[in-house]
Amino acid sequence: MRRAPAWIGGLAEAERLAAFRAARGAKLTAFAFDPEEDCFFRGDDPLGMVRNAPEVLALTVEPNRPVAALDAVDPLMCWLTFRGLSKASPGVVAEHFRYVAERVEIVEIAASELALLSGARAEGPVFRDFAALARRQLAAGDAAGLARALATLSGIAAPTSLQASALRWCEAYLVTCGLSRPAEWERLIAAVETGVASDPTPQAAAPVPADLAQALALEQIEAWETPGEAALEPGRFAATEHTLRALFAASGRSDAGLDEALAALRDRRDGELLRARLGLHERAVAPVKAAVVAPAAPEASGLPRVLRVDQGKIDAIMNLVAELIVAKNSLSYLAERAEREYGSRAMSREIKDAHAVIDRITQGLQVGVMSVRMLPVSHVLQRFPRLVRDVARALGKKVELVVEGDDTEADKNVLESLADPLIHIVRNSLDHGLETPQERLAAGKPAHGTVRIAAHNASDFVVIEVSDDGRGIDVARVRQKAVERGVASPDRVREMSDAEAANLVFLPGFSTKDEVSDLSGRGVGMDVVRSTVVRAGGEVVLRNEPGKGATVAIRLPLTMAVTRIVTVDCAGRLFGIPMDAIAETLRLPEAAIRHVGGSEAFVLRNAVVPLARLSERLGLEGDRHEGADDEAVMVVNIGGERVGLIVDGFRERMETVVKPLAGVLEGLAGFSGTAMLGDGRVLLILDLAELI
Amino acid sequence: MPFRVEGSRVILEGHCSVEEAPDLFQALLAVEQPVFALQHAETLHTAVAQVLIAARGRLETRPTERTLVACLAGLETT
Repeated sequence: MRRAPAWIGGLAEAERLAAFRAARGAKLTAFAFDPEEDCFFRGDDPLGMVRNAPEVLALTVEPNRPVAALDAVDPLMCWLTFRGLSKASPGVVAEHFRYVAERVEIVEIAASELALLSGARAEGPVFRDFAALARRQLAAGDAAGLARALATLSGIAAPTSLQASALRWCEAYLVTCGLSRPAEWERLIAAVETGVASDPTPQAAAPVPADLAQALALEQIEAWETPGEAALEPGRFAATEHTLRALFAASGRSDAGLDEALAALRDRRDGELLRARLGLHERAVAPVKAAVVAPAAPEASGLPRVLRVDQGKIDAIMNLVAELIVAKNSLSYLAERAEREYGSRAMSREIKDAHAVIDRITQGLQVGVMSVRMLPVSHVLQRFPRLVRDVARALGKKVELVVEGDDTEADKNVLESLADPLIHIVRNSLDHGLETPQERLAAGKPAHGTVRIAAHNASDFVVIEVSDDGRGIDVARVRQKAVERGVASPDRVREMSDAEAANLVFLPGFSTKDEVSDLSGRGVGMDVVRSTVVRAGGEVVLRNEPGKGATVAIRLPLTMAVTRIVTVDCAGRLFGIPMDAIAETLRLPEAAIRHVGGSEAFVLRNAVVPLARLSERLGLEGDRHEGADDEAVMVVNIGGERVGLIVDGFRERMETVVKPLAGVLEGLAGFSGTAMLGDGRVLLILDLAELI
Repeated sequence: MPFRVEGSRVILEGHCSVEEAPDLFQALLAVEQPVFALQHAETLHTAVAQVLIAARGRLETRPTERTLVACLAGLETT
């Protein structure tokens, strides 16, 4: 037998009566919602949540502590609690509160449990007379007579007396249930007679339907199998255990062996025993473990004061900052013009001074706004434990997921551009990379494969590496498929090193799988991953160890809003090269250029670095300085390899906003975008990977 | 701005989001015995409602929306 929550007595009688009438004798769902203190920082609005709760019939909102004086209140800390009655089923109410499930208690109650009487006892023989009459009318089924008697006595009883309260409930019963429910009628009539209230008969807890209990228990098991922060684990398990025990009891299952199954769940995150007890099939389940870095402990002085701001507002400020940076660049052009065209060196110096000041302020502003947009990569990685578990289960593989460095921060837009490629890479690892448990055991590996996602900052970049200890990429098969699919000639494929051949997987339409699976092979391949990352200004690097596993590293700029570039001269034209691609610049004596076959190269710190002339790559003429003593060489990193790019000269460095090529320029090979120069000219930004 | 202060009268309008709560809180520190005009307030975020409760002001009129009625039940009406 289960009693209704005590807080129901705190609801006003009028509200309970209204809810009782609305329920028309059916069961109701009582919910108690105690939001977490810091829930506003997660974007929760408990009041809004309750406002939108389904079919709420009664509601009480109370502070969970005495309300302090205004000046002692933290306006961003939640201290209200919500108690309500809903006509919707417990399942529907639970679904509504699913994101705050651990903060909500949901109980199904009988409508009769709302009939809690209150008031002072009134004296008088009239109440005994009414009781005798009412019992006779009940026995005779005289509803009309009982209604008249109730109306008469209600008119003379003191409204605040307990008897008046009982009479109001009698009237509500008569309207909604008629003369059925004799036990309830007797309780109410006895209350009128004696002026003493007895509790409504608690309803026997209805057994929870087996399929519902099974589904809920499965959710609990899966929730526990998804690791969270270590510090919260004991509390999480206590809640899981409590719920599972209650579900077993409510569904009428024997709890024999439950302790053992719960211990396995707690100690090994192994829910198989519990699943078996619930009658679910034995399944290959991926116990997923994540090394989650616990967040820093809150300041002793309390929670940090944080305000949620619409992302659009921040983006608008960032766009303005980007425009300001471009506008600022025009000052250096003006300074040069003041000196060159107007011969005013003093004016030029003043403009340069003003430029330096504005530059400093702009940089501070940019750093400030960027820091607002920075989020930990955990925002992207938090979905992976479940993804890995579900995919591994579908594939019948056992997988351990290890996440490292998820507190590494990057711009929100960068993180958003990272999400889809990462999902694809992880799916590829699970689908193509990791072997089945049988294959792994046969290869002398543990049955559990490991997928590791590691994030870290490197200079102005965020690097995320996805590695697995699977079979690696079968390079011979990649070569064969590349020839079969016509993506490379047999000669070219033969000349390739293993590392180069492995990178063929990034070519459009490439797949070594003959059968397309539901997971990674869905018509989009690693080429989409690479193009997505490149579009965001990053690069993808693949490292392959056949038989031991593969690593895919994504490297993205911390922010996509502003790009640092260097302008270079080539055949009388200016071009921009992103700074992050440049390793160094140097003047190379003509005599140091070596001719290897038809190509040029030079030796840089004991390493041979191939040379490429920008003018030739762009199909321009006039940059070969016959007889010149040296060449301007920009050493750039392309796909992890160094190449020397010969240009006519280096110009200025600048920060600018690179706009992607649009309209007729879209798809123009060799260029990644355009930028506005200080004098209003448009600068083409080179896409070195494509060009070289 | 979804709220404005006119003397002791604090008028809330439209959708009052969590971002308004700190500003409203600051504004109410300077208002003695505030009177809240919620006739044109469509929704209040929990944080805003809490500031109203903590300020212990009076309501110009009782709200009609159920959750707000329950939330501000402790405040008196002018």
